[in-house]
Amino acid sequence: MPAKPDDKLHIDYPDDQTIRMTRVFDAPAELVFRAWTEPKYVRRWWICDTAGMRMTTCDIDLTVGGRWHWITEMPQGAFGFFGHYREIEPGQRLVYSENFQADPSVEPAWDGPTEASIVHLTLREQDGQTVMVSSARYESKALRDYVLSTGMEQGAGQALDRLAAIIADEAVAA
Amino acid sequence: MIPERLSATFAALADPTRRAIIARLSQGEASVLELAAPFDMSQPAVSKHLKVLEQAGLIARGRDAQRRPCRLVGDPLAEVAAWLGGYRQFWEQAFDRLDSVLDDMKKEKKHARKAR
Repeated sequence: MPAKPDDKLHIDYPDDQTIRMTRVFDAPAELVFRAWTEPKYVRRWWICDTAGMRMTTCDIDLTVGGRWHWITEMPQGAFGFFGHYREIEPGQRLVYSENFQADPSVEPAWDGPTEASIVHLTLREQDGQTVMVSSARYESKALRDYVLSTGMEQGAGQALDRLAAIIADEAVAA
Repeated sequence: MIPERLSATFAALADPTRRAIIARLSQGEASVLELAAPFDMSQPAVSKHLKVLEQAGLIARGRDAQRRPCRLVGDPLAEVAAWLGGYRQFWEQAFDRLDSVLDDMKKEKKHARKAR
């Protein structure tokens, strides 16, 4: 059965270059921050190990101006993301640039003229839970819309499967 | 469940007149009269469509009692793209895995505290 979408993740679009995700985690902010910034944890959640995908590189230099570089291998090929950390406030806030690397066998353009996106990750702890807001601003609306539609062909099929499953469930519940 | 707002977006996009209204408003705000002009439709009929769009949170109407110009709110097409594309699903699944990593981290912390 196809996975059902959950209501836990909220996505909205504050302007036409931005994707903002809001999600509550049942853990203190300090742990959420470490899960985002320590490779031994990132490796366990960012990529699904069982879908033929494997995270082969997870470099994180958590200093202002420090580089991060994550590479994933899958049967169809490899891809990577990379950027620099700009602001670091442990347990509270992380600002970093994020660029896509289509061919990880070629060294990324570390000091390219433009950054594809800047991500502001903020954590707010309340009663032992953490509200995470990740706001990614892309260099253009076209790029943002491209990112949103990535995997559209494959994703659309899955989305329609999910839609069918939801409608079936709602029909049973009615 | 489908997020309520997305259901409203789908419902709004299921109608050709409403799609045309959204397309027109993506160029800039317009009054009911201006929106009705290209359609062979009475003003009340267009108003009905606008009400659906407004209730779905896709458009907002100005306060100016005479003209009440309509404008697009948010980015319904981005929402549909995220739904149809893999973006939302990728992050939903990643964050579900993050939930269980955080559970493990909480346990580790507890054990570390006990060991001290």
